[in-house]
Amino acid sequence: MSRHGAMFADKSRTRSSRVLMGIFWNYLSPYKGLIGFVAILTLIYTLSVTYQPILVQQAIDSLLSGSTLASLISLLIIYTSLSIFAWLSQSLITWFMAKVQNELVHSLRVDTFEKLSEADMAYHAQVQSGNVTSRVINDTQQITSGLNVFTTSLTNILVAVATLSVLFSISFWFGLISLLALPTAGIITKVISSKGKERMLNVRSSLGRVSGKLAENLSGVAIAKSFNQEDRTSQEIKKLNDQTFEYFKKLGAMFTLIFPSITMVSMVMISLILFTGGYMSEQGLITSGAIYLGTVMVRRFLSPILALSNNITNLQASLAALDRVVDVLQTQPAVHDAPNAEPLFITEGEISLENVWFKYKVNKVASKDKAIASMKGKQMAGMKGKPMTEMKSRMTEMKGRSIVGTKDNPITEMKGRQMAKMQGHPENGNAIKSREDEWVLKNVSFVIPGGKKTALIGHTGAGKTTVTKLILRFYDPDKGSIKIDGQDLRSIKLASLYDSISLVTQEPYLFAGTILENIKYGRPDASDDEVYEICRIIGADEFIDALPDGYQTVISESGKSLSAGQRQMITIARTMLRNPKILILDEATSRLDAYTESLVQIAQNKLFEGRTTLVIAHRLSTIRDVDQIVVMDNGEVVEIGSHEELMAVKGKYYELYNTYYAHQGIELLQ
Amino acid sequence: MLLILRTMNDTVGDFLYRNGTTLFFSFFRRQPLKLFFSTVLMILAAFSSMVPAILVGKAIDILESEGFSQLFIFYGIGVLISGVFFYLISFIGLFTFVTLSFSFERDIRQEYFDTIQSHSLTFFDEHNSSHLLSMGMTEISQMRQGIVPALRAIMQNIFSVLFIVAAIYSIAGLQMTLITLVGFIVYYILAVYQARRITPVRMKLADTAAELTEQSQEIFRGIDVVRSFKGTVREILRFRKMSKRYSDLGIREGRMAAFYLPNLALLLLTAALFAMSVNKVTLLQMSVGDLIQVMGLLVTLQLTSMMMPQMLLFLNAAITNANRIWEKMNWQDPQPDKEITEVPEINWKGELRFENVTFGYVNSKRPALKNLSVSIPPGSKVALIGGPGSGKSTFLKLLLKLYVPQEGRITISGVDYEDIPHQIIRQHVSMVEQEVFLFSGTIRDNIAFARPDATDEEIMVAAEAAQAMEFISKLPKGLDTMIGERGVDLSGGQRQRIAIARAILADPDILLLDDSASALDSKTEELLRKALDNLSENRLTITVTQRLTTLLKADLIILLKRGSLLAVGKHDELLDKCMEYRRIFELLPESERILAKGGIQ
Repeated sequence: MSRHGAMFADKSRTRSSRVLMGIFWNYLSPYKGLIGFVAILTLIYTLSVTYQPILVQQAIDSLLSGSTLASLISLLIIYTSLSIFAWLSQSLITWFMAKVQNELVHSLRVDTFEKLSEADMAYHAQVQSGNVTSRVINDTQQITSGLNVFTTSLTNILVAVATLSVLFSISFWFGLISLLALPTAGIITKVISSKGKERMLNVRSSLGRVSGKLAENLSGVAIAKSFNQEDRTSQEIKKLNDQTFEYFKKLGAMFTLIFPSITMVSMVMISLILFTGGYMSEQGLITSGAIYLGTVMVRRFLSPILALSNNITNLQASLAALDRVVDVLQTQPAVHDAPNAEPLFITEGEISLENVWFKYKVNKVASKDKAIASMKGKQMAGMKGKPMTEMKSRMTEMKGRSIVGTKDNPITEMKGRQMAKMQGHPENGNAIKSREDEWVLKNVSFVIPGGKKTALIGHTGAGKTTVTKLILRFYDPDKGSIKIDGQDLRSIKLASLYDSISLVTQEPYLFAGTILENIKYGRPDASDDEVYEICRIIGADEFIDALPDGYQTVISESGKSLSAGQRQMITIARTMLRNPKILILDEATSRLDAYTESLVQIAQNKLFEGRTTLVIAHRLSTIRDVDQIVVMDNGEVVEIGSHEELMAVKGKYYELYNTYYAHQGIELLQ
Repeated sequence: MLLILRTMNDTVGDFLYRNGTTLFFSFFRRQPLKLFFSTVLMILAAFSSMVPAILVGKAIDILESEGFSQLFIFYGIGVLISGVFFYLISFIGLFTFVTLSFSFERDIRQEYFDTIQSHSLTFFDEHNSSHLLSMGMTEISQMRQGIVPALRAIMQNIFSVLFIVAAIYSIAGLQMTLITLVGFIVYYILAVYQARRITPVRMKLADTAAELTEQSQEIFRGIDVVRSFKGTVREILRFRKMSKRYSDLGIREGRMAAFYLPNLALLLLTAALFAMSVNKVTLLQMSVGDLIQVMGLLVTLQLTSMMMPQMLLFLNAAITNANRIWEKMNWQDPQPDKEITEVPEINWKGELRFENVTFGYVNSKRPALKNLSVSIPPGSKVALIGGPGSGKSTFLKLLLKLYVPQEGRITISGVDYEDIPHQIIRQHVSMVEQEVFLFSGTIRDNIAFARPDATDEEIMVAAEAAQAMEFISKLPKGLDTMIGERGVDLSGGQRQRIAIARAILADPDILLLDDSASALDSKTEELLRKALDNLSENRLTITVTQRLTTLLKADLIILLKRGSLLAVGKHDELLDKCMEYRRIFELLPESERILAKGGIQ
């Protein structure tokens, strides 16, 4: 194993091959019996295919010495039976391995998914959903294909060893000649593939650019049409497409060399065997049948050895994938239930923040994932590709087979990114890096009274959204504590927290499924009538009725056919239906037009009467009648009070309020 | 005008395809000379790859009769020469063929994009854009894989088989030839049958994989919602079920691939020919060298046939994909554009009228606009208001002729929109959409999108008027700053101002603005308001808005409800005569100041 360890050493991994193999073996343990059986079948297969040419040799030699058909009958029967054995054993191997492989990838996939869906929000805030999915789908698939490669390699080694021993047993020289073929073939493939590697990367990144441009132009088709620029977008694609073709041609020139070269090498070997054999036969050292056997075996010896060298690269990729998956499987989330956690018990619904300090930290697993993603991004510009294995594999591998469409989904990723950009949330994505080591909340203390409405206002980046994330315990504060009705969030069961609290964000998120299912997401047992009633109250029924299937309309592509405002209406209806005891609205109505927003607010006031509510809003005119306003600036609370009180103070709030109206172009009432 | 004609003539590439299969096999029609050349080389390569097997047999016969003679050495050198010959022939032929397949992939991809881009927006409403993308990338790549390696390998295999049949005929006579022929026919029939059986399962497997990925990605994108709505356990169970379905399908496919009968047929054929050869040698009808030739040929063939099942599956997948792609390319618009032979003279500064316009999206339950009639005097500033689903955006899209009304008509200066090519309409009408779409590239490229020939000065003036110069000049590379995928991140307000600059530079006669939501802070909102004012100067402007100042300044307010016209008029009139308008206006959060005593600046 230690020899293998050196063979598969890889700097990008944190665990040794031995540790990884150990972990992998644990996953394989339910199939130990089956795998043992497959090993026996592999042996049978190897022996059958190796023995057949020997039978032919025996036949040749007996025929040359004048044997009759009758004496050869048993030989012919054995030959035919070996054909059937070989076929049967190979079929059984495929049959059993199909089960092992697919069940294995299933259990790895489900475990990884489960772990990631419970991972810290810090992780998810930093890793794009596409890359998270790549852990779940592609890496687990790669691990299992490693198993496949491993078993084929094993067969290859067995066949090669058996073939070589036959060659040596015929003649020492035959064995030596065959061994000579190895470095020759090795050098040829090495030279070609090391040059080909670069060309392969060129092709990948060029294809990635085509894919990115295609994704973009498909998303922007309405704009291209509106400005009469279809010719231009077509030309853009053409340029990248032509470039890709040139790269493909260069790559093609390399890998079309492989097959002819190897075939040539084996033909050279055959002629060498022929010469040596002929010379030895002249000395009476060897029979004609043995020469024939030599020519057959030398050819058979090359292919498993060549396959083996390709497989090593492939195995390395699998081990790297396994390493990444193990990272996920062995990480304990930082935010989790304490051992003695108790369910949250709400009486008043009062939330208090006491001397809270907080900063965003780079998540360890996430930063590793991001490093991988950016590395890949450089190489292939958004196209998720497999690591470079052999060049031929690109041509032979059936891409559609296991992971079509999983490889890249630039459209959804792109959309996600555009949206993230549009909302300009400081707590999103890249912003985290720049704010590392910087306190986002500095000694924040305030009380959100139970059953009342509190507004949180301040400039972008003041820390408002961070407060909501801490209340939802997506993160734990570094210092200080957050309590609901006196119970510290760290001492209660997470599940019970989410029973009582709901969040509506600025970015409306819809699931694939019908509108009805989306609204019922938080309360699957609600009746349809309840849904209709809520939609009627907030005025969402008007657009839902106009959709092809009304409430049964299926949302696709995160609701592409709906406007942002319509999507937000659905998320508001979803929360209203759930009717939680504590409600957090983070710019929840920012994508609605002002009129609809007013309608929603009237409905909210009615439905959420007596609920603890925390509101973040840009439109200051909408928060005038809340019970309490907390003004934040640069991570600190600067003012607390009602609208009238704060206006009278003429401080930060007064300033914000007045510039707001000035910016609306409306004269001030002095 | 030249540009327009070119665009209109841009039809389905250079070929017309009757179906997906014709699309796939159009490969053969593209560069026939090169294809012929590489096919000839392929035949020669197939031939020379069989030569060693024959020469080895002959050499052993010589060895038995003459010993290590000159003739024996001659055969040995023959093997060497055929190796070198094979190397050259096979490389040139392969490279030519591979290049042909890559240019096929390139051309199909271009035709695919050009064709679907020319479809109307209804097509894009009906189709999931990530599916369209994966078709354009993965499925077209798979079409190429149907050519290289699949079709090439199959062709070479067939040539090899024909050669072997001929060789066996010359060595062993008719009887064994017939058996060989029957054996290969059985082999091919079984192989094709097997490929047909597995292909649908594989396709389903690929679709399930895509679904599984989409499901996973969706959950992680909305993980905060999933978690705060306590959906985690439910989603894990749902994923587990889907993953199990995928895994079961994988097992099924794997088991179908086991017990591959064509291989058994090939093995049994070899055994049969072996036995018959042995028999003939004992009857002295064949030499031992002949037997060696037969066995050598069959072993060579077994090696080249190893990949056949895979190749046939590639070919099947390629043809299935070609059919899927052809379907998208051959999409028929339910509401095709009227053919326009003569472009009329149009006064774009004239009156714009909707006359009893009704329009509904495909599959929609009720029309988005219903019997709408309104006339807009030249140069008006129009405000368009109404709730979500009232038909505001549809109103704008019809004016760009992105869709065509099913009933009624839209006219400009009395000319029916139906009689004006959409290219011309879009030269005179521009829109600033609500959710701004920018292309990756420089800021300059984006502003000059409609007029790539614009000078720097023109671009700067437009950016200035759009209040965008202020932030652009602060960027490291100014107008040349890259945006999008690998460029800087712009805020919502900044993106909107770039879109406004883009529209200003296009200098349309009719301007459409979708400004219905405002996720912006108040400072940005002010800048945006100024930019919009600049943009609407001196042209007919239709704005979807609830900005108080825009309503007050509008020459005409159009109020829509459920696709019908509720009221039309100026602010003061509507405030008096339309209850609904008054109700809306009063609900607008800042209105009380206007109604009390303040006013517009």
